[in-house]
Amino acid sequence: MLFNSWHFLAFVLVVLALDSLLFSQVRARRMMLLAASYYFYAQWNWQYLGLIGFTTLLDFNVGRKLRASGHPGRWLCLSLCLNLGVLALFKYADFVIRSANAGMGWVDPTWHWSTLDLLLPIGISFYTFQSISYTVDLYRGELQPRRSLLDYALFLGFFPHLVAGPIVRASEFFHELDLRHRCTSREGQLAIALIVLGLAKKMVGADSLAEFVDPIFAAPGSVTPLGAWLGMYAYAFQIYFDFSGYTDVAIGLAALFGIRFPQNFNYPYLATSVQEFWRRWHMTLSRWLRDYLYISLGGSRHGLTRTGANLFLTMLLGGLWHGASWNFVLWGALHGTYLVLERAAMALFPAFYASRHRGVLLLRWLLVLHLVCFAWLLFRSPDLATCAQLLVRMGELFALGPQASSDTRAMAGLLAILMLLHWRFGRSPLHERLAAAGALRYAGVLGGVLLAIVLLSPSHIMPFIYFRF
Amino acid sequence: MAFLRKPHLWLALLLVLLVELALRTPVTALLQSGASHTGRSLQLQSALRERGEGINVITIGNSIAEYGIDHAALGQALRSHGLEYASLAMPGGHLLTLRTLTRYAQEELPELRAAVVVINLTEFESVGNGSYELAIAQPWLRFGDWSWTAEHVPLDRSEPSTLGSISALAGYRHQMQFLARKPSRLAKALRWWGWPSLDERLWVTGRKTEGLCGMDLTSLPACLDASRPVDLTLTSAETATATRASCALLKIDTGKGDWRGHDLEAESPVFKRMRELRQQQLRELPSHAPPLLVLMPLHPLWEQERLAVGVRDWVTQIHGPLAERGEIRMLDLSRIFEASGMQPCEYFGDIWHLNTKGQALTTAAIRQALWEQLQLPPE
Repeated sequence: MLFNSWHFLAFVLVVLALDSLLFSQVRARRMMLLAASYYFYAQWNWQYLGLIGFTTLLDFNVGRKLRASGHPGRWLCLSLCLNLGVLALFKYADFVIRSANAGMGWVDPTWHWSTLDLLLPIGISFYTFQSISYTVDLYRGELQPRRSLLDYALFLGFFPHLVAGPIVRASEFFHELDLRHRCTSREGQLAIALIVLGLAKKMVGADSLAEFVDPIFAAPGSVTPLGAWLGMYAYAFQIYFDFSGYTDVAIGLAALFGIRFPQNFNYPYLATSVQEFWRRWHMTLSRWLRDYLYISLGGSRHGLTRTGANLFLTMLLGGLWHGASWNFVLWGALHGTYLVLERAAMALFPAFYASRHRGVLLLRWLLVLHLVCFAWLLFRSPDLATCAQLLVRMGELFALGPQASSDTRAMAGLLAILMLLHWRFGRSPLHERLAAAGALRYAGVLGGVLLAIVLLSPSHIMPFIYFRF
Repeated sequence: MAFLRKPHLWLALLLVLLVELALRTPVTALLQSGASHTGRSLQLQSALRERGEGINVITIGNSIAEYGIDHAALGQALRSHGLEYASLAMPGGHLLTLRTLTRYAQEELPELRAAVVVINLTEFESVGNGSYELAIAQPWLRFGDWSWTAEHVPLDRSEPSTLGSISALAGYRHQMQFLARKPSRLAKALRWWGWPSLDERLWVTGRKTEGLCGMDLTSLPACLDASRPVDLTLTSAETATATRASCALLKIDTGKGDWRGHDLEAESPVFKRMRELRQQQLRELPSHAPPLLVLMPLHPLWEQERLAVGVRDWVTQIHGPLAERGEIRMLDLSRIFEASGMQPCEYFGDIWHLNTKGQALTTAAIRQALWEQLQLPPE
């Protein structure tokens, strides 16, 4: 059941109505929300509900034992091994087998391991990370174990963030749940604005750009140099609209149930350093990687070399988290390299990075934007050969000139407008301005966005990109 | 849900509803543009409104009719006999279009004396032309039509355009997206003083001057093979490229059907419905003379590579009984060029449409039959 489907709209309306009816009955309400969340997941594959159930029971019970036993480290280790083991089995086993087959094929041509061909459980990367954060927080003494299995199951399974985040920490979720906050009219307006704008980002922005981007990555040999450049920029906006659109809908939905989710995107293409980009892009994953991986590895406490290595390893694993393919590993490695080099550059040219001069900021912004966009080529390409082919085509721009057709000119204009809007709303987010607006202005803008969704979204409903991760 | 007690969301939904209603009024004529399906339909609709009730002869069909008949010449010739002519042919038109135009003719064209309905063999494998036919029919639809538009284009929740049956907003999606892709088109469409003249809008004629003899079209692989030389003195490079792209659309993985010896209506209710609807629409056309049904020629590649074997018998099965009872008159031009001794490549401008040379031959044949229908003195 996709967020951008009629089925989901009907589902949400029913769940909201039930939530309103059951609001004062705490246990019944939470049971209803859990049942609705499991129904939502079962629409994709009911058998994999067992996997969510396993993770829920495992970490709920580990959480209870961990604080009570004299060996919390063992319980944490059990939780990590089982959680990461399940993730590895479903997400990475075939990748390892295929890589082993390719590697061993050089030594022994008859070598062949059969792949497992397991269906990747949707959302497994997200709910596994959330569950791990719970046990690690308990281990670190930053959280008390939850007594109610129902609450814990709801933390992992709550449908707005079940399949693609935001990755919410247990402490944040339980705090919100315990507040038993009823959505106010102002919050409701903000939530609806977020949902509608999020759907527009996905259905009008991302899906329309996909129609331009997909043929470029499908046949890189037949694209013009300018087309290759525009394809790269267009994909940067496509993935941003796709994922941030999903996140906006998730945050808006949760808000309608009185639960505030953390921000996940903050206009990332305005960043003037790669470090800042990661503070603006998929913020909840960046936070998770920082708190549970980078800091656990030692963070920046052991000198420059070790810090660089920690950064690189964190980003490498962050890349691998996205998917089982060498493209993602290299994408993560590339961002790790960016961060390491940027740290070195900050040490070498502190004035350049401290400067608030507009020219310097513009230069840094352009540099970061292009570093990020080049990395997206790796992320989007179906294989490394496609990525290399596109890079070669892009290089030819300087030899052959722009060769602009009317379509490429229109796309270049559109991308420039999108960047300007990104900059404009980065200073003052549209949904916040809308929530503060009067009824007529709110209705005019929201109605216009609804009309854009109905009239301008492409014909076929496309799944969200991050559902694959 | 306190926010529901505030007017904000309701006003936004009201705005959407108002636009939905506005798209069912003549204000949509402002969006006309000959280059898109809905735009062409709007253009035709506004021209018919302007001309009023005095139209005596019409042609209904798709782009094969648009390119297959010299409508301007036909219109001029009929006017010299005191008759007004309008071509209601629209690219992509199919059975749903025929149905909406039949109703229009019943209600708005009381002086209709003759109707030419142009068909080709490719139309008889389905009862509709997909969701984009809804975009063509949209300007002619009304509340309540959803009960029968769904017979031609079934509702599909995963394809928003199919909701055009019940919502004008969804029905106008093609047009809005067409205009949004190039805002200059919108500016052009909105410039009402720059619209073509009334005659130009009512006699839209497709004209392709080239032939296809410069390239090898003896088989689909030959057509698709870009390495084969093209004689540019006979066929331009653009036409060759476009023809290859068209050939790519002819490819079917499942292989051609074979309908010979099958009782199609017994095997599938779709065929039964297709026959019933076709016959019903032709009977309901309100012309004084029986409608003239013209079966147009098709490029041989179609019959060779794509069309189900036996489709010609199926077309005869649908129309034969009507012709026998004198409810329609059939004019089979599908083999007209064989009789003339010309090669197919000489009279086709692409693998769908005739060029002006082919158009001249078919127009002459249709004109002769139409003059007989109207009992006009032979030319």
